[in-house]
Amino acid sequence: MSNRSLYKSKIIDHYKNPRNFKEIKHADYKRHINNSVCGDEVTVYLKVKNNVIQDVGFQGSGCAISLAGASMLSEQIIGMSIDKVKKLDGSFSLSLMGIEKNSPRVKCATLSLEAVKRAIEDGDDEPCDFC
Amino acid sequence: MDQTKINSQFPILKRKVNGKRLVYLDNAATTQKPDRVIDALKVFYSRHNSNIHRGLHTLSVEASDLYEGAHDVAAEFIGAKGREEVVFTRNTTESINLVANAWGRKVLRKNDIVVISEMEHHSNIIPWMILGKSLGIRIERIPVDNYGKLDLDECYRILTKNRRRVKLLSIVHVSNVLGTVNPVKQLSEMAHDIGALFMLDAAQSAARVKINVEAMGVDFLALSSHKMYGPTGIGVLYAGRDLMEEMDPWMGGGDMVRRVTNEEFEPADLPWKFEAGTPNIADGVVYTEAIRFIQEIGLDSIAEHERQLISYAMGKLQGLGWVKIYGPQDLASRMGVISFTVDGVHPHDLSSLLDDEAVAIRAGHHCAMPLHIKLGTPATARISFAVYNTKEDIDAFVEALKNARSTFLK
Repeated sequence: MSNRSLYKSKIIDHYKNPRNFKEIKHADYKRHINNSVCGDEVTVYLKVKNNVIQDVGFQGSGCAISLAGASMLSEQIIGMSIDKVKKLDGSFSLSLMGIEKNSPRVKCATLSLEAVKRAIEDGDDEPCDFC
Repeated sequence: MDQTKINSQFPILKRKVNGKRLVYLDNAATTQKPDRVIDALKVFYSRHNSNIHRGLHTLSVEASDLYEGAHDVAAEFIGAKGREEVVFTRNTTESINLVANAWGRKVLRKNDIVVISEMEHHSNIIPWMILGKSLGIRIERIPVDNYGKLDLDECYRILTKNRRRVKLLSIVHVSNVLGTVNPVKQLSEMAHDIGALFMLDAAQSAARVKINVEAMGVDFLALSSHKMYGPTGIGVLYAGRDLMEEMDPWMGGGDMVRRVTNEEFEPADLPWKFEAGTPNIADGVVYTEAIRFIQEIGLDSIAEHERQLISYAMGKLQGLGWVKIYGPQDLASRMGVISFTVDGVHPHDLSSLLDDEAVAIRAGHHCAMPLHIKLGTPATARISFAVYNTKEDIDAFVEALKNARSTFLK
């Protein structure tokens, strides 16, 4: 599969007009992570009530795949229970974006989900390289 | 320079990627290898393979002669006096770590200073950070100015202000991000004026600049074979004989020792006291073929060829109007690489899209994260050149770049 096919118009749209690209001041969960290979980074913020995600914010810089991935993921997990989010794995992000499991860009596509899961499980303890 | 003849020696250039002719512009990461290097590896393993220094049989004598002789070839290539001044390591990184450990841990004291620059590769930053933690030494950095060059006035100020504390000035010869060629002679004189030593990271320069450690005033020099058409797994550390003798071994084991008792050991002769364990014999031997390849074409011819490519590529990129080029704009001050960003397209996406067109470039921080913080961008895209690149390669790259950008303009 060519790399060009990664850049579907939906992904370009989310990259150029990211949804939920915001900081949430008093977030219940917050986590910054980066991809040490390429320097992509994302910070996620979660507002949670009764074990259900009420609001998601993310900020960061990176390639189209990682930022569109964060944007698309944010739309999906609003309204989702924490327990369900914990069970999500990388294939959720990949199918959301139409990216194959053996693509060299898997790490980019799944970076934001990794951040969300670590926010819930470990909290905010990763040092930030660029902010 | 006969381009057709040179390129015919690189079998990988016949390869297709995604059905298209390979355009390899990631030479700063590693260069491709000519037939003579690939063939020499087969010859070594087919005819001479044996361990060294420890057998009296024919093969061991042959392997030892070839491996030891490779040190002489490597020494001559950089103007060192002989094999006693050349240690084979795995790569530039290991060479710098050797200096940090064998020299640094012996000589440096709390509050001593190692001066580096803002354009260093991680390999010339982190070994000193590790020493900083365990010995309490400090790192000072020479700033990079707005033209991508070292601020030499500030270098002078840092060195003279701390003249008793600065023990080493360790600087990259050619930046792997900016392409800046640093003034080695001037820097080594500044270091020596205050009684400090001077180390040169020649990873990006050894395949394009004639190096003479004596004339340049270099005390330590580090380079990698694989960035100069040779095999991976071989690097060089040069140090003058006095320094080699002053330094203690940093790894112990077989091959680095003359005599061991229950209480003590007596290290082997130079340079073997720094090559513990069975070394990378085959690649060390093969490295000589890479050196001969470079010498037969001539460093001046290689440098001139690459200068024309950089000039052509800079002109093309500047003409596009949406490409930002990092590093010196004047061609006399740069070599090897062009790092750039494209408005609205992340470098990582560029490199994926260019790969569709069989154009291999690098994207990321190029193991120079602190420099990218200074440049104000987390990542850049980079093209880097070698003797086999042509103007057709650059044309193919520029076309692919235009196509990549158009994907994002939809």
